[in-house]
Amino acid sequence: MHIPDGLLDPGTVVVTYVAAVAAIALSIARVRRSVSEFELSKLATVSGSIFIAQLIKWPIPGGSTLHFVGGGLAAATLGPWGGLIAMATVLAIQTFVFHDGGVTAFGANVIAAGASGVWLSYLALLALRRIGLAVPISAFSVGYISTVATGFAAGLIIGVAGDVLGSSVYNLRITPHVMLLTHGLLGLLEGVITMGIVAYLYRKQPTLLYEGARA
Amino acid sequence: MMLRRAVIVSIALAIVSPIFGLLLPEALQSEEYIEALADRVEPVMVIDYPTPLKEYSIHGLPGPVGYAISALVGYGAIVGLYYTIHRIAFRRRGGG
Repeated sequence: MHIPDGLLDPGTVVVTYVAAVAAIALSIARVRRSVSEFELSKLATVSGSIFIAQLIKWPIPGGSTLHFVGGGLAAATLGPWGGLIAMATVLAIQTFVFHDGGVTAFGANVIAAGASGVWLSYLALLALRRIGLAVPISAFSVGYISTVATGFAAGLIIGVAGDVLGSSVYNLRITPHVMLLTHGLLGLLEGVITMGIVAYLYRKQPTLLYEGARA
Repeated sequence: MMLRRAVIVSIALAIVSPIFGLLLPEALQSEEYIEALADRVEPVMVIDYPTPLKEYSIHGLPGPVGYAISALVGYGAIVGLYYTIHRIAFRRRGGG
């Protein structure tokens, strides 16, 4: 789901990089205040697990492929600040070591998966738990929302770039809708996986969940 | 204990990842929308640089083997990065 090189115009690249660096810096500053050895181990484990999970793809014959994105899981286990750091870590390794996702699009990918996917799913999780929805249903919803939010944000950024470049193949009239549609489908898979993991952790070791998720 | 279990599951998934990440998408000719889109348009800004693990492949090794090794290398890089941060942060804290 990573935005590759070649789609974004220079202006979008600069704006998304600045926003992503600011979001990462703010997240690190917030996490540094209270990080414990346990939290750091959790950050490493969740980041590594999301990296591996994203390599497992579910192909649709003759069409697209789906894979776990992980924003909802990151939000439920690490909270919004830690979750954003985890997603940025995964994206940095994917981009700069494996060239999976564009170097020019790294900022855009962090905004889509981290700022949008993690933060929106965290806020949804808080709201759903506050109204008393059961953990498995909340977790499914959070997984679903994180994927749809990530896909839609990526579609918006690509669409804006397409409009700036005057593209008829990708622009704001096409990409957000296509991404919303495909990620609406992927979200079901993401929701089921997130629900399974979060419900298991809630039952077996709730300390592995972020305070908002286990409350 | 739970974190150790997560590591074991991740390593097991890394080993089987070529089946789902490489072989099945190839066999079913599946491609993500964004990747297909990038192939269709004239690229705007492309930064290319040599990396021995480009797209999870290793030159000279069969695709699935390179993919699985890349998965393990990536996982190791992430865990190694946080291990290094841990060593620096808590040595400093321990030393006052």
